[in-house]
Amino acid sequence: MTDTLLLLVSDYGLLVITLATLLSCFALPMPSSLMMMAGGAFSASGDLVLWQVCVAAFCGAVAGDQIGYLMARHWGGDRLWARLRGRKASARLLEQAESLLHKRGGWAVYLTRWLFSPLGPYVNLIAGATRMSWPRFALADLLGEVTWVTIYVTLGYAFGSQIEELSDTLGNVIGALTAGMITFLLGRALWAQRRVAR
Amino acid sequence: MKRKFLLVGFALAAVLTAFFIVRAVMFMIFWMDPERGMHPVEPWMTPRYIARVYDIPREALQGILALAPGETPRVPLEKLAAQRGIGVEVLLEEIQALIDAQPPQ
Repeated sequence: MTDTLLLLVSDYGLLVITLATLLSCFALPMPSSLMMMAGGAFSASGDLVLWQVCVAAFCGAVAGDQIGYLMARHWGGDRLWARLRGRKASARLLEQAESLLHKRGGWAVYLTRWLFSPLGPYVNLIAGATRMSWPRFALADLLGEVTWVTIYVTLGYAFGSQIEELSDTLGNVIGALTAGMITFLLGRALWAQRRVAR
Repeated sequence: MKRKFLLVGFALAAVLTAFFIVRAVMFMIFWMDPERGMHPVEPWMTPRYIARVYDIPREALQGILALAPGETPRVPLEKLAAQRGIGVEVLLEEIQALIDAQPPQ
């Protein structure tokens, strides 16, 4: 699977990198970080041009995020959210999520671009559905994607030789960080409930 | 009822965290091994990429790939092999032999 995708990168170049980062914004299982690293490695050997790889990856990622946000905002995501909020079962949880996003939405968007990247697609949808201010979303998104693209393309450029192993390593570190953060948040919610119950 | 969902979610997330930490540690051990060796040559690699990563002279590589001197297209080995009507394994083996023949640094 990864070999086929790497073959696509060496065969078709920039377009494949753009498509990979675009599709990864819709939670499709796409090793876009590996493909950005491949782009960096091919730039180091002179097959591709470094700045073009960065721009290609960046454009795909930002376009994908914006589509997710706008779809949720304008195609009924906001109405669905309002209806779920009206329900007793889900109201409190969603209210909490919304107030958290309202207070720290910029950081949530920025950090889910690269550090907790598996959550990115869902944060796009929630940001759109809760009508988070677009300039705020867009700014955090741009900065986050610049960070994401810079990290992986630079790593590919510098390492080159073992990008598959490097990508697997980082994938597991990011997985541990993301799952750890969710564990922490759920643990905190449980702790708060325990105190209320007393 | 809601607490039950939270507990199940918490347990699942904790198990996932442990799983990823174990995998990450396994990779750390791999990186710490100085004898880990190089990644084998693969069909997706291009002539320039191979020459740079495995540090072999371009001329020797061009000889194997039947490329003119100075010709290093951005074409993966798989496609180069297909253009010549041979299996990609043949090229992989020849390049690996060339890499193995390089003096160690």
